[in-house]
Amino acid sequence: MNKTKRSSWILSAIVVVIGAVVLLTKVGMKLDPAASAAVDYSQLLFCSLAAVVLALFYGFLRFDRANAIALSAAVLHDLLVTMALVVLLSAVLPRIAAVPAATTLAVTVLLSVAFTFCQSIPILRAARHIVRTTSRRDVSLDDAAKMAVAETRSFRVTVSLPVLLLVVAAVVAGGIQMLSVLIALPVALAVSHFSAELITPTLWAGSAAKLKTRKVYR
Amino acid sequence: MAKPVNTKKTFNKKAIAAVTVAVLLVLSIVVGYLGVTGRKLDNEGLYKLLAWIPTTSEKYTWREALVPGADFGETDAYVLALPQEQDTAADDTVTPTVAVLSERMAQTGISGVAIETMDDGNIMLTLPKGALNKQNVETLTAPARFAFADPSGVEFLSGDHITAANIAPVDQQMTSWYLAFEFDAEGKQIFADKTTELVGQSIALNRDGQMITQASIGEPLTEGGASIPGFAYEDAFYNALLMRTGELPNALSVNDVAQGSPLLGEGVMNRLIIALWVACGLIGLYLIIRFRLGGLIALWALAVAMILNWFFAALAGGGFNVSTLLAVYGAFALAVFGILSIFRGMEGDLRRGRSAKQALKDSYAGPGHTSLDVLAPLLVLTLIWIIMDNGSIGRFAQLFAIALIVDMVIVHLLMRVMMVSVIELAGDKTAMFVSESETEEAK
Repeated sequence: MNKTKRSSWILSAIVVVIGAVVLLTKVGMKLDPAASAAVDYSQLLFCSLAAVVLALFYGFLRFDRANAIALSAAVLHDLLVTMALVVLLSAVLPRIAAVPAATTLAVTVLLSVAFTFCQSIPILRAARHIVRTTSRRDVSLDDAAKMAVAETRSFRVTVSLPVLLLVVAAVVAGGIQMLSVLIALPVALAVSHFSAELITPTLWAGSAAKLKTRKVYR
Repeated sequence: MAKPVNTKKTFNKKAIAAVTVAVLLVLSIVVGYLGVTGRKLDNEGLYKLLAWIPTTSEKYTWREALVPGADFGETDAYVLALPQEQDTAADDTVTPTVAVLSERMAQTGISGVAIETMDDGNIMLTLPKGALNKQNVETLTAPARFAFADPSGVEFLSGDHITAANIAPVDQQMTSWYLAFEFDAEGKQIFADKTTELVGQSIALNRDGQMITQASIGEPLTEGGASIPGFAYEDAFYNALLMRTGELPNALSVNDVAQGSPLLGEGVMNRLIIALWVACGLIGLYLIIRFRLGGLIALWALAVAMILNWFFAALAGGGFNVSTLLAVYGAFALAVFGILSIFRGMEGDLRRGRSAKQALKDSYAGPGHTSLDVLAPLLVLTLIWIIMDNGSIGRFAQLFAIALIVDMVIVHLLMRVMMVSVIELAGDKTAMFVSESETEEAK
């Protein structure tokens, strides 16, 4: 694993740890009474777990074990980092912890799964295609992953722009209140792009090399 | 010997394509028009098809189909006062009161409730307009001190021992309801002892010193709970709710009720509707500039998807709130993803000089599957979320699942039919789908 990719893992872990500390010490996400009564955040955790498990099963059924590991890890990473960043941002935007932002926070965080799929699945498909159409002597798994990332980058950026445009339109119309409600969306978008560039391809290449699940990976 | 050219088949294909496009276009326009304006279905106006596509105009009836929640619509703002003898400045009297009140409001199932402590120590309760009447609010802001009393009126068991409370219909007509409750270990023992003593007599259930019902004791009740029949639905519902949430530390009186502003601010709804339509328009414009005729068809498909998604959101009772907007526009963004993945596949083939028809077919069979690879697991996931959660996540997932199904049908079925028909009519010229300069570059 090269230095950049190792740094990205470390950065993600640091963000998650800091977010957890801020949440547990109640420095951030100080829910107002109406929000804490109305929202069952344990359901957010269970639904997030369901998303990770589904990604694992879907990746395995649709593709193979290497893709399953990469996709489910991407979903887990994106959910954790998005939640952590939203907790950190709540220190700057306290309205995130009040009604109505707090009651829709679970939904906006879970939508990050859609962004993860939209960013990671094109890379996994492209990587699979490259591996199937080239020899391992010419293109290693790491190279195939890098090529897949480069090949799909403009497409992935293009498909992110409509989401950003809709969020910007909503924030322009609704001001700071609307920003508090929707903040998890641009955060999730950025996190999913980050993981698609640096996390998913590394995991896929590493898993494919270790598992050697298919002849084409050998 | 030369074979005769089969012109009849070519003519029929073009005719079928023309009819298909015409029918789809007329249907799209009619459904879109009805979506915006609604329609009276009889002369008296008793039956009407409500509009369902949000617009800023006040004359259309979409607000009846998609009722604005507290996020965007009018609210009722209740000012609740603590008793004057209480030290309202002390946080330890107000905070637990607000916490219990919040729990009670959450248990009513009404979303978009806001409770704030004001500077003068009063509490501002904001509800979606018409969600609760003043009597219900007074019930929910009452202390709700429950107690069980013997026939002489002496209270022998307080409601603090109640651990669970629920309601159930007595009969199939649901005209009468049971109020069922369970006690903790201590309460179970007290209740068992007293009902053993009072067999053949009756006990009263009091709330805030007033008797709300009396029940005769046929046999000792030693199971740690009981069910009392004879309640109207609303009485049973509120009593069970009050039992579950416990006594309010401070009595609250409803001082004033006024029309409150939406939680997200005045005028945000109309500005948001305009801003989102403008954003969708810009996305459509990009598609047309980039993909030309293909982009125009994609815009048409997206418009149909949007019309249908708003229709199903209204049908499902989603209301006009942030959750519904996330479902509808989230699905819109995913539809754009699907269209871009299909056109990305087509673009490459068109630049290499392949026919539009062949490029479309190969794109749907290849790169277009990226969209299905995203939409299919998301659909399964939303179905899982519907099963797992009855709250905000489950409600969002219901609307999102329907919207994902609409996306899959529109992008992978309807748009393909539209594209094939238009290609049949307009011809297979590459320049109608990519710019001349892009094909020159490819050469």
